[in-house]
Amino acid sequence: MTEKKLHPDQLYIDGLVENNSAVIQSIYKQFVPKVKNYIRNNSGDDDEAQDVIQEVLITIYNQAKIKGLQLTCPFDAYFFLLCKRRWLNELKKSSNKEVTLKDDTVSIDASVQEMTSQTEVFDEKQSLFDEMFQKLGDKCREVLQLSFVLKTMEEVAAKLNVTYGYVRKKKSLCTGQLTEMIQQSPRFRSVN
Amino acid sequence: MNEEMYIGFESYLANEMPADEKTRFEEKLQNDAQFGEQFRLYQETTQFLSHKFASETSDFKKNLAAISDDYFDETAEKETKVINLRPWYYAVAASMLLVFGTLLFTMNNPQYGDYNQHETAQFTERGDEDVNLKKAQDFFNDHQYQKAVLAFEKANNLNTPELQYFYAIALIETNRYAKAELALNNLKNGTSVYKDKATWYLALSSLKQNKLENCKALLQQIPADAEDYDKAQKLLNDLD
Repeated sequence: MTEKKLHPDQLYIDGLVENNSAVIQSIYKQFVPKVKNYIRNNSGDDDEAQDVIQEVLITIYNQAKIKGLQLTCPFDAYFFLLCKRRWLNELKKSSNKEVTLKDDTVSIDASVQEMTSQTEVFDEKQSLFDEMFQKLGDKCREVLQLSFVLKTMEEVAAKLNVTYGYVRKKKSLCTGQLTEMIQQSPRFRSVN
Repeated sequence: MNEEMYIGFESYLANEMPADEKTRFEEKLQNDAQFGEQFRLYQETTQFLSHKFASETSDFKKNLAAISDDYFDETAEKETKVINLRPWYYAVAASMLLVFGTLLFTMNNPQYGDYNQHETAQFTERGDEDVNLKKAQDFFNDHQYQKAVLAFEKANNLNTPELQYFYAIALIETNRYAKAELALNNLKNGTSVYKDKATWYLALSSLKQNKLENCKALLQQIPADAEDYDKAQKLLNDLD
């Protein structure tokens, strides 16, 4: 037996992983209205709500794909808290915007808190990786991208008109460089 | 930059390292903590990139954006047109009700998630084993199946029924059914203690893929003296 029981709402996570349209649509129908109302009531509009919701669902998808996310609390509470906190962060960033928060002081279940902070740490790490990837040189970005998009390194070599040996070496060194940039970032400590 | 180290990481991950070099590499992974740390980050970075550029990831984002646009367009329209509800809206509403009803119906059926409480893996107790197997075991028990699969696949030897069994469960968890079923069928046709357990997991694999007839046929093959017999009977009942 496992120490923490998987919540039946794992079906929403599995549906996201499988890119199952019916499940994604039911997430929108069942859980999105509440988030939309919250953002509207807290200085946001529909476009902003749409973005926040999409970003949160992509984060959940990423975590499920890479780490095999196992939901141990209701999806509704988890999803709402993630959206809410992302929106509050957005508001903080654009502090020129006048913020009127209608905060509900409902206590949050510990398992929801824990799932949410796991996802936030994961997201923080992904965004650090992403940011550092963007800072790599053009050549490195190109070689890395092609080596994951194309099926074989031979194809990458042909596409770039260089030798197989060269792309292999370049891929290793560019990935290595990326790991060094990630490690040297001050943000690395907080997510690792 | 330590070029040799990164070239080594890459060739190890691509499984292109000559055997003797591989042995030395793995020893170093075990004995040199800093080297191990560097390697894990390299591996994680590779995983990040592979996910970032996967066509699945962009398919998901496109599909999500389309569903999201539909939803927000539709609700915005509803909010501005509440008053002049046209007759065909009723037809739409009725068909949506039908869809939701069907969804609710399928949701009441037994799900893989009701049955995936796996036993704890304990295949590396003796301490002198492959570092990848130890990792596979820890990730497995921590429900990080994606990582467990990666670790299993790097292990030197996966030839015991026990390892095949846990590897297959991790594969089912990560939706790699064909590979999982290959391993489980070998166990099912073998003579190890995992024989009946393999049949149970083949049934769960079918259940997860919604192949319910298949699932039932497999459940019926589980003998009454098997550990999973009671669960199998319950699932059979729920499927009928």
